Formats: sequence, C-alpha cells, structure tokens
Amino acid sequence: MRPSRAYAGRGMADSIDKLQMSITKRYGGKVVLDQFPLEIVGREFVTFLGPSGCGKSTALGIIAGLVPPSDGEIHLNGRRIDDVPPEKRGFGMVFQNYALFPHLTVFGNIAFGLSLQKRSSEEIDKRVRDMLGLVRLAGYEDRYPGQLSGGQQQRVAIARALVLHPRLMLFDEPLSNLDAKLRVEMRAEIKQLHTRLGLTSIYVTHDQAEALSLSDRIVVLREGVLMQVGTPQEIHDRPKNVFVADFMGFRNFLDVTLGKEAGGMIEAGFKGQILQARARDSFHPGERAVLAIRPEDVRLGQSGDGVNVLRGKVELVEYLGREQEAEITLDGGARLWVRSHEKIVLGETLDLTLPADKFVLLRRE
Amino acid sequence: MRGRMWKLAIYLFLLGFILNLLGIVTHVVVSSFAKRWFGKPLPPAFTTDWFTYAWREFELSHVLFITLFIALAVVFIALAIGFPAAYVLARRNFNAKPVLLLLYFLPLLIPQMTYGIPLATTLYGFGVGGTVIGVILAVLVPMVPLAVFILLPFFEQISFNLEWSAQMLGASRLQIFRRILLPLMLPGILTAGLLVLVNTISNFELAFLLAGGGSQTLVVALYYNVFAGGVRPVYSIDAMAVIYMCTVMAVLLVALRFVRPTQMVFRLDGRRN
Ligand SMILES: Nc1ncnc2c1ncn2[C@@H]1O[C@H](COP(=O)(O)OP(=O)(O)OP(=O)(O)O)[C@@H](O)[C@H]1O
Ligand SMILES: [Mg+2]
Repeated sequence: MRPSRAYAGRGMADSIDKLQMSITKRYGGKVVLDQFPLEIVGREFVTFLGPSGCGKSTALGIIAGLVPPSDGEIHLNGRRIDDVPPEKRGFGMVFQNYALFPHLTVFGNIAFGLSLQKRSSEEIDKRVRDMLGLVRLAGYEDRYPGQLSGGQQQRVAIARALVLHPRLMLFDEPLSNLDAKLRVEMRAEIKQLHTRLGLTSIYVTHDQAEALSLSDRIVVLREGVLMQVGTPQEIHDRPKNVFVADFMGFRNFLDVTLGKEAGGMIEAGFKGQILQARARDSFHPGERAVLAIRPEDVRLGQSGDGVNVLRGKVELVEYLGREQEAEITLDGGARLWVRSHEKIVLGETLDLTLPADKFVLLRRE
Repeated sequence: MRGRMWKLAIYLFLLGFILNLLGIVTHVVVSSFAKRWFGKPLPPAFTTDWFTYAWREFELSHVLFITLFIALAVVFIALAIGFPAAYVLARRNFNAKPVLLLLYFLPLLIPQMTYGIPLATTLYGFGVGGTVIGVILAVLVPMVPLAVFILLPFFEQISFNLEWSAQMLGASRLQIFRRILLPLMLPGILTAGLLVLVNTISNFELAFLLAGGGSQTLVVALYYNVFAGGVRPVYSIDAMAVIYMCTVMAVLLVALRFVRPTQMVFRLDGRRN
C-alpha cells in the first residue's frame, strides 16, 4: 500500500533497517531481563507477549532509552545507540495510561513534539490536522484530554507519536485500559496504521489474541527469559514448551512415557494406555514427556480406528455461548478439558478421541 | 444525654473562644482609633492620628519594606531550593529516604526556640547576625522544609509517564521542566509560596533572634515597642498592631485569589497511575 499523505515526506535516512540487541537488566540483585536477544527488521510488527511482571515494559523502556540496561548493547542499522538519550533516538512511544499532557488541548498535545522542533506554525497546523484525520478525531482539537473517552485519548496518544514520523513505534499495552469491544476495534486501527504508514513497531501485551492478530512475529517472555520467537502461526500451532503452550490456550497436559517410534509416529504410555502422537526430533523412546492438546481439538465419541480413545465422566460444564467447555475425569483419575458444539450433560460418561496430529509433544519441566 | 452535654460544652467553649478573640481584636482596633479611652465602654472621640504617629515614629515604611523584602526573598529562595528537592524526593526511592524526610521535617516539628539560639550564635559567628541576610538565612531553616513538604504531594500527582512521553517526543530536561512540570506545578508553587510568605511575615522567634537595628520585621518592631512601655502611647502601639494585622490579611487575601488550599487535599484520592 502507498504510504498515506499525512505521512509523506519521511526521508530515507530516518528509516530503520535493523535493530539488534541483547540486554540484561537487574534491579538490585533481581534479574529482570536475562540476556534478552532481539532482532527486528524494517516494517516489521513484533509483539512482546508474556504474563504480568515478566519484563516486557522494562525491555521496551530499554529500547526507548528511558531505562538504562545493566549489560548488553543495542545496535540500530549497525550503529550502537546505547548512549543516545531517548529524545534523540527518534522513536515514538504510546503508554498504557495514555500519558497525555492534561494542561494541553488535543491540538497542543499532538503539536508538542513539532513545536519543540521549532516548525513553522503553518506546518504544525497542517501536520496536526492531517494526523487528526488519520486517527478520526477531526473536530476535537480544542478539547482537553479529560474531556475524551479512553479510546479517543489513546488515539490522541498514537497521533502525538506518529506526527513526528518515528522510525520505530513502541506500544506498551496501549489497549489494556479499554473495554473488550473497543479493544478489538483499536487493535484493527493500529494494525491498519502500521501497514498504511509503513511503520516498524514493537508492541507489548499480555493478551494472546492481540499478539496473534497484530504481529508478524511474537516474542514470548517468561520472567525475563526468552521462551520462543516465531510467527503467530508457529507460536500458536507449535509451541516449544509447556509455558508457551499454556499461554496459547493448550489446557490439557498429559504426562507420558515415550515408547516405540515408527512411520513418523511415536507411542506414548499414559496411565496404562498407549497413545499415538506425531514424532519429533530429539525425543527418544523411554523418555518422559508431556503431550499437550487444546480443549477444542478433543473430539467427542469414538474414532473409526479406535486409536487415542479415552473414557471419562463429565464433572463440570461451562456454557460459552455457541459452545460449552467441560471438565472430564478420566478412568485413570486424570482430568481433561473438552470444548464442543454438541451438548454435554453433567454426570454422563463419554468416549473422547484425541487426534494424533493435534498433539504437541513437549519436554517435561 | 451525656453526648448532648458534651456537645453543648464544646459549643460553649468554642463560642467563648471566638468571643474572646473577637473581643481582643476589637479592643485593639477601637483603641487604635481612640483619642482617649478610660473605663468607658466606648471612647468619647475618634481619630486616625495614632496611625500617622505610629507610621512616623516607628519608621513603619522602612519596617514594612524590610518585612516584605525579607518575606519575598525567603519565598524565592525557599521555592528555588524546595522545588528540586521535592522533585527528587517524589521521584527517587532510596533506602535512606524515610530518615532523610524525618530529618528534613524536624525544623517544622520542634519549637523554633530550641534550634533558634544555637543557629543565631552560629550566624553571629559568621558575622551576619543582626543583618537582613541573617534574618533571611535563619527563617529559611524552617521555610525550606515547609516548601518541600507542600510541593511534594503536588509532584506525586504528576505521573512519571508524562515526563517520559515528553522525552520520547524530543523534549530535553529543561524543556520538560518549562513545558510540563512548571505549568502542572503552578498550583503547588502558588500554595507553597503563599504559606511561606505568611509564615515568614508572622515568624517571630527567628526574626527576633537575628534582627538588629535596621533589620527588624514588623512583628519584631511591634514587640520592641510594646516593651518599651510607658514611653509610647498605648494607642500608637495598637495602631501598629492593626497595621500588622492588616498587612497579613492583605497578603492572605491577595494570595487566596490565586491559590485554592483545598487543592492540597487532591492527592488523597488520585495518586499517580
Ligand atoms: N524501578 C524498578 N525497581 C525495581 N524493580 C522493578 C522496577 N521496575 C520494574 N521492576 C521489576 O521488574 C519486573 C519486570 O517489570 P516490568 O514492568 O517490565 O513487567 P511487565 O512485563 O511490563 O509487567 P506488566 O504486564 O504488569 O506491565 C517486575 O518484577 C518488577 O517488579
Ligand atoms: Mg508493563
């Protein structure tokens, strides 16, 4: 897509080809980021995904230059930028709580950076108005932040950063203060702006749906340690460990002992039964492992060949609108979550099929 | 029943207190306008002569000028020191902070006389005793903490993210100060300035200990003239007291036009996010 008019005039010099880093951050004795590696190319949309307190904001702050790293280096287009102060890096940032200047109007907020650059008032006026159009806030220029809704405030915050044509946009959970519906709308808007303006963006969230829908690449973090990097599809379908799988909605984790491998399939002993799963490199017979499967991938009833069938009693049913999710206690005592469109009755005994190709084989932790 | 009695007692006490206060003030005001006043409920004749007398005899124009000069200098210096100090205390967390805060506010908690005398001795030792500078330095000792104490919650109201986002938009430290902190801190600066001003004008102990012939503030001059007893007509002393009260009231009224002290209570609900 052609970059929009509001964004024209961005020189080649300030675009970003590659950002590379490997950083460690300690607070006191506590390691918050442990040699966190990252490589981003121009126009990419990268998401940091992880639970609260895992160090996402800290990583973003270090990239922005607001938080000094304890160790490590950051390179932009091959040049080291650790010593460049935040105001000279040319990055834009959007904060979770918007952080609009309460004493300035919408216009004043968006014009803030331009007026620091001593632009002419005609240029400021034009660029601010173009930007207001872009974030669909034309006509709001004289309002104060306190007179705007959360979604409008966040759009002002985005416009305020974008008007300076940042070579890298940093978003720190920008939607987490909004209600569910608005969150989905704004998510689409951010993605649209990113593509339309040819931005390079790093986006922090703890919401997996947000990460999946926005990103070119997702970086999953746990307590400051990188867990997995990959496209949304890779992360969603082939999580590398129990932590990522859990975060991606795998709810069933079966402790198994691996058996024979044949024809790309491997046998897995589970409570006296033999299950079949797709084999994976570096897993060997005799090893103890975990089989993960999503509730929605478990099928009700027997499959044709009788492979991977388990029996159990329905203990709990949660109504989810179009579907229901049920907790089943298997004959061996283990529990399994199942999601289905079909009606599940509390207390009944069911046959369940776990399709071999839906299992993800993971190392036990 | 007992509760009722208690309430009644408290109301009566308050009423007595206010009447007493009003009585004293009224007496002083009436007396300052009286030509002569012995043993009658009201003086037989009124005059404004005592004010002109006091103004001339006590060199009140000079005393007022000194008082205002000292007060404004203290306000300016207390804010200049208190502003960055409050900023650091609000923004940084360090282990010694609670101890430092306590040390800092000690001059506000303990009676001024306890440290006033050693302080005066020291300042006389440096040769600034009895001068305007000496008075300013001494009064600053409790006034800087007061300014910090008042500015601190105002700073805490300003989210740190505001500074960060200004920085991300290209603002230097100085620009953040001028364009973000200063406008947002204006209510705090006015409140602190007002309270320091009023407290300095009404400060007696430290001003008394440090003041010399030419550096007496209004309260100190008032005190000296009261105890120069017999020499001055009592009416002229009362006139001076009225001038003092009016000065403080005028300063308060002017300042209250710009400051809402209720803003200090702000931070009880809306803390930084
Ligand atoms: N200034 C600080 N001093 C000490 N510890 C800190 C500081 N800032 C962050 N931490 C710690 O570092 C860890 C990571 O914090 P960070 O804010 O990066 O987490 P996060 O992933 O952004 O979490 P959230 O999703 O809740 O925003 C946390 O355990 C936090 O307590
Ligand atoms: Mg965070």
